Amino acid sequence: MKKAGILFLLIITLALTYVLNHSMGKMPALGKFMDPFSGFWQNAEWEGQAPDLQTLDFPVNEDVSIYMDERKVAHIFASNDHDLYFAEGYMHARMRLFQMDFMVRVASGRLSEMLGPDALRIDRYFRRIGFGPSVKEAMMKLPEDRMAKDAIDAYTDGVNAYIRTLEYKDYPVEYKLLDAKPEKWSAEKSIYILHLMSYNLVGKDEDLEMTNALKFYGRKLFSEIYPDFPDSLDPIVPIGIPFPEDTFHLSPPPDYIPTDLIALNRSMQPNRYNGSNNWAVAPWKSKDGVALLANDPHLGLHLPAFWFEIQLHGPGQNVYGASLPGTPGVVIGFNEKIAWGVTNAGRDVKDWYKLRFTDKSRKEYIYDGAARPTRLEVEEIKIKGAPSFYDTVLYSHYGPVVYDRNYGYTRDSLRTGLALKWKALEPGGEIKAFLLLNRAGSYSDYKQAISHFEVPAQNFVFASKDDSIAIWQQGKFPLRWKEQGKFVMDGSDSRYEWAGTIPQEDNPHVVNPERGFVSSANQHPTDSTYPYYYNGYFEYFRNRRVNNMLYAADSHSISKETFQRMHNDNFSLYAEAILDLALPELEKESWGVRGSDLLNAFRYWDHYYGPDDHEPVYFEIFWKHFSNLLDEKSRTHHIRLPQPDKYVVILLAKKNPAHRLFDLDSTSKKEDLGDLFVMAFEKTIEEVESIESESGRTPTWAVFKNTTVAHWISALEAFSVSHIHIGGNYGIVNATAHDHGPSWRMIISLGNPTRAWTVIPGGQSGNPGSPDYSNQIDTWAEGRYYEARFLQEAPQGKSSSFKRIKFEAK
Amino acid sequence: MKFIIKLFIISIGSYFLQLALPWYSIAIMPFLIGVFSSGRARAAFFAGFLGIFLLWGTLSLMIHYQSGGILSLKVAELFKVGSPALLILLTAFTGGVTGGLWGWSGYALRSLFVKRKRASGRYDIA
Repeated sequence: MKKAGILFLLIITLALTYVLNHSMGKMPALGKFMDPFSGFWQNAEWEGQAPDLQTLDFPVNEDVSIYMDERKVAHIFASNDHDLYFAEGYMHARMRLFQMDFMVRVASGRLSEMLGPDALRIDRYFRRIGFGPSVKEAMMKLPEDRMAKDAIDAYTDGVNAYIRTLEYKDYPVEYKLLDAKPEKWSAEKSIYILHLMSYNLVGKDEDLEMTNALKFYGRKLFSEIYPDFPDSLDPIVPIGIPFPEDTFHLSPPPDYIPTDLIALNRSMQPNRYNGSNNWAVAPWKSKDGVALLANDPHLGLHLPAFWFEIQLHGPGQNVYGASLPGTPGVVIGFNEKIAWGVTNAGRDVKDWYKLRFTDKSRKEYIYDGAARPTRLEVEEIKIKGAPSFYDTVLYSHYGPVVYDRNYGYTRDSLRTGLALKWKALEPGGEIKAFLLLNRAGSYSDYKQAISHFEVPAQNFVFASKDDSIAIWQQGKFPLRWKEQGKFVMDGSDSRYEWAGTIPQEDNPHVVNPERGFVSSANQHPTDSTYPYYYNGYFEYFRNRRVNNMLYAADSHSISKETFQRMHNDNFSLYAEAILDLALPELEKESWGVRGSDLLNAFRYWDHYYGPDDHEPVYFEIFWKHFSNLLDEKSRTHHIRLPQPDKYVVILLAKKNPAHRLFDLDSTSKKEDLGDLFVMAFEKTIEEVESIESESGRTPTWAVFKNTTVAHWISALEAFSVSHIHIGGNYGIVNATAHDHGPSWRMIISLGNPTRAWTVIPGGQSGNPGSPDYSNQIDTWAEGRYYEARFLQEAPQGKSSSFKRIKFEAK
Repeated sequence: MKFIIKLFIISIGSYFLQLALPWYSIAIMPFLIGVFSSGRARAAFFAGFLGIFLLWGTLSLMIHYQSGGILSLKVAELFKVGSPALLILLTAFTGGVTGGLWGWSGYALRSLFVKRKRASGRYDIA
C-alpha cells in the first residue's frame, strides 16, 4: 500500500470510531450504545437475576435491611431516621433515577441541556415563573426546620451513594440514548420536585381570560356564565354544618373592576384535570365494623410510574404507601393506626398584577404613587447542540414579571408587565407535614401534622383505628376581598395586595359527620355561606356520583369490594344530564338513517363509559362539537375567553335555553340551545360516518380513547404503553382519559391487622428493560389490585419471596 | 497463524478487555493481530470483523434470550429496525466493522513498518 493509502485508511478507521463514540443530533453514540458489554443491552433485566442477598458498604449508623417483595415494593427496616431516609433515597435512585432528574430539569428549566432545542419553550416558561429564587429562599429557611432538613440531607446522601456506584454500564437507558450523565443529587433538587407538584396542582389560572370575559359579557352575563358558586353544590363540608365568623371583614376598593382586555400568548398551563377522588367511611357503615379509606390521585399517565410504593419501618413509625421519587417520606398511605389520602383543593392561589414601569428601561415601577426598583436576573438556558439562550426576567415585590415585552405580550406597551404573585413561591412545611403524618397515631396527630402543609393545598382524608374519620382542606390560603384575584389586578395600588392568611382553624373540615362518610373529588370545599372569599377550578360530577354511592350504601354494607367498584365506576352524570337536555331538541328534527341510529343509541344508552361501548364515542364527538360552538365567540372576536364549565352550561341550559351564551356571533340569526344541539349533532353524524367509512366500523370507546401511559420523554413511544383496554373518562369516578387518570389506587381497611390494596398504572421499576416496568398496567386497567405486604417486623429466616439488600455499618 | 486461531484470539482477548475497558477497546486485539501476524490485508480485516462480530453477536443474542427480548424489542421499535434479530445483527455488524477496520489498519501499519525496517537493513520480519 502506498503511504497515502495507509494514512487514508487510518483516518477512516479513527473517524468511524470517533463517530460511533459520539451522538449526532438525535442519534445516540452507536458504538457505545450498542456495545453488549456496557451499552443498552446491559439494561435488560430478568426474573431471578438479582441475588438473594446483596451487601453494600455505605455510611450508615447501624445495619439497614431492605426487603424487596415480588412486585419490587421496597420494605426498609432501619434503626434510626438517618438510615431510614438514606435508604429511601438509595432505593428511589436505584429504581427511578432518570425520572427524578427529568422532573428537576423540568422545574428548573434545564431540559434543553439534555434534550436539545425542542425543550426550550418549556425551559423558558419555568425560568420565568420564579422557581429559582423561591428554591433559594426555601434552602435558606430549611435549617430552621430540623426534622425536614435532617431527612432531606440523609435522603440526598442516599441518592448520591447510589449515583457514586454507577459506571456507564449501569446508567438508566435514557441517559445512554441521550448521551447524558446522571448528576449529583442535592436538597435543592428535592425542593424543585415539590415545586413541580405545585405547578401541576396550583399552576392553573384563568385570571387573564376572566378579565376579558368580564369586559366582553358585562357584569350580569359574566356572573351567570362564570359564577363562583353555581346552584345545587355538593361540597366537601356537607351543607348545614356551620362555619366560624369572619373577623376580618375585607372589602374591595370601590373602583376595582378591570376594564382592559388582555391579549397575550399564554405559554403553558398544567392539565386542568389534575385532580383526584378520596373518601372514608365510619365503622358503622362497613361490613366488618372497621373504618375504610380510598384514594386515587389523577395525574398525567407516565412511565416510569409517578409513584414508588414503599414501606418505611424505623423508630416511631411503620408507614406504607406511595412515595414521590425525589422526596423523603410517604405522601399517601397508612401506618399501624391511621390511613390518609389526598385530593387537590383547586383553589386559586395564583394572581397577576399589572405593573407600570416608569420608563422603557424598566428599572422602576409605580407603587402607591412612588417608584419601586425592579431586580433583574439573566437566565442562561444551555441547549444541547446549540448556543445558549439568554432570557431576562424582572422581579417585582409581588414576584417575577412573567409576561412582558420579552415574553407573551403581543401588542401591549413597552412599559407594561404582568407580575406573578403565587403561593407556590413561598417556602412551606410540606416535607415536615408528611414526615409527621407518617408517624401520626390519632386524629390530633394528623391535625397537627397537616397544619404545616401550605401549598399545593390538598383535601386530606383521614381514618383511624380509634374510630375517627375526617377531612381537612389544608393549605395556606390568602385572605381576599370578594373577587380579589379573579381578575388581573392593578399592581400600582397597595389596596390590591393580599391581606394575610385565612386562620388555620377556619380551613374547611369535617370530623365524624352524621352521614358516616367523608369524601372529596375536587369540588367546592363549602357552599357560599363560608365566610372567606375564594375562587378556583372545581369539579361537579365525580363528587356527586361518589356521594350518591356512599349515601345509597346501607349501614354495615361497605367492603373493600364496594370501594373497588366505586374506583372503577364508569357512569357519567354529565352525559346523562346533557342528553336529557339534548334529546328532546334533537327529536324535533327528522334525521336520515344514520342520524336516527345515533339518536336511538343516545336514547337507550345507560350512560356508562365501558371500554367496549360505542355510545361514549358518539357522545364525546357530539360534546366536542357542541363545546366548539360554545367557544365560537373567542374565535369570532379573537379574544381569549375561559371555557364555561360543563356543569354551569347544563344549569344555564335548563334555566334559559335562549341565553346569550348559546347565540353565535358569526351568524345573523339568533341561535338558542336547541339550534346548537342540532348543529353539533349534524357534525357528529358527519364525523361518525367518516370514521366508519375509513375503518369499516365505529371503534369501541377504549379504541377511540386510546388510553396511553407515555414515557416522560414523549418521543420515546417505544417505551410507552398505548391502546389500553379501559373505560372511564374525565368527570367520571374512573377518571381514565387518553393520557390522564388514576396514578395510584389505594383501598385500606383499618381492622386488625390493617389490610391494604394498591395498584399503579406502570410498575415499580423505572427501567424499560425490567419486567417490573409496566407489569401493573393490565391489573390497573382491569380494575384489580395487589394486596400490600404490610410487614409488622422484618421477615425472619429464609423467606423465599423477598430479596434482601443490606447496608452494613462500619 | 491460522485465520481461525486469530479470530478466536481476537474474540477472547476482546472479551476480557471489554470487562474493564470502554467499547472502543475492541480496536486493540484486531490491531495487534494485524501488526504482529503475517497474512494478507483481507485476512486481517476479516479476522477483526468476524472476531468482534461473533463476540458482540453472541453476547447480545444471549441477553436477548435471557431477558425474553424485553428491551431489544423496544429498542428495535425505537430505531425502526423491525425486529430484535436485525438489532442483534446491527449490533454485531457495528462491532464487526470497527474491529475489521482496526485489523486492516494494523496490517497497513505493519507494511509500512516492515518496509522501513528493511531499508535500514538491521533485521527482517518473515
